[in-house]
Amino acid sequence: MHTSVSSRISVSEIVQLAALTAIMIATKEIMNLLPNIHLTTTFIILGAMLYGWKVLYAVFGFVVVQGLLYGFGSWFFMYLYTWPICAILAALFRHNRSRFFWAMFAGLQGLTFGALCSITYLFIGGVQTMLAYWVAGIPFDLIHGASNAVVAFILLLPLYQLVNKIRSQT
Amino acid sequence: MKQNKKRNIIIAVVAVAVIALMVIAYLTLKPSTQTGAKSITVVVTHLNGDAKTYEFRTDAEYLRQALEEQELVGGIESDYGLWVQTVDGETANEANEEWWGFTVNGEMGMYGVDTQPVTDGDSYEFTLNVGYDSY
Repeated sequence: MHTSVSSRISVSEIVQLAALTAIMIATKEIMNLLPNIHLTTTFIILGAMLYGWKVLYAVFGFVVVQGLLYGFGSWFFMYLYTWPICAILAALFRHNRSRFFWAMFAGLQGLTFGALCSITYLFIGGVQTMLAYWVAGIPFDLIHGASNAVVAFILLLPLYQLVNKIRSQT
Repeated sequence: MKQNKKRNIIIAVVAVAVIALMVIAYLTLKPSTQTGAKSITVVVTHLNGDAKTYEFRTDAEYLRQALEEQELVGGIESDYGLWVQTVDGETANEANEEWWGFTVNGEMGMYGVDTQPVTDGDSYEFTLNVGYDSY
């Protein structure tokens, strides 16, 4: 079943997207206990499936709140493009309902997270700094990719079905 | 359905290629380490300006192990290894935007303590900074 998405944002969608932002922040804070494991990517994909491009509102809300919580350091600029890129790509494939596809998608997001973040260091310290940052983080990116894939494989479609069920009852 | 199968195959191939690229890049570009007894110096500059110097020998390949052997650092595990919160008994007060940074032989550290290689003769200086703008 595909969810049709109007190009205009309704009041109901604003509330739902705000709730999605809150859930992403809450789960990220809780999952901080387990390094490199989080539900953010799965929730962004879920948002893209449910709201299409409008998931970007939730993503930017998430990024801004992260900045307010942890300060606007260099990582903030990384978040400004890494998460929106994930959301845009997820929105492009939002009609896909393959569990395997989304597990691979989320896995790739984790694998490439460090490489995408390292682009910021290209402007701070040049190619050497960018490469050093990326290479130093590769072991962590591999764990990040594997955990993202497992989390999305297990949770994404059940969450999608659950939210659709709730929406159809309201 | 056929298109979905094709997409699944393409994304799986891309994932395998990315993993292969990362493994190759890591094996060829990772910072080299030295094994065996190494003599290093760690200078800790506290918030009040007091500096303490520790000179010791270690077999550690990476800085975190060397510092933990001396019980010089503490912190929490983060996505990129140990997030250093305490050095030489002084804990950074995050409410006051305090944070520990370190230099390697006078240069700004490019790695975290987990991935900073230890080389014989290295000097590491940890300083408790105030304000995230000072990064």
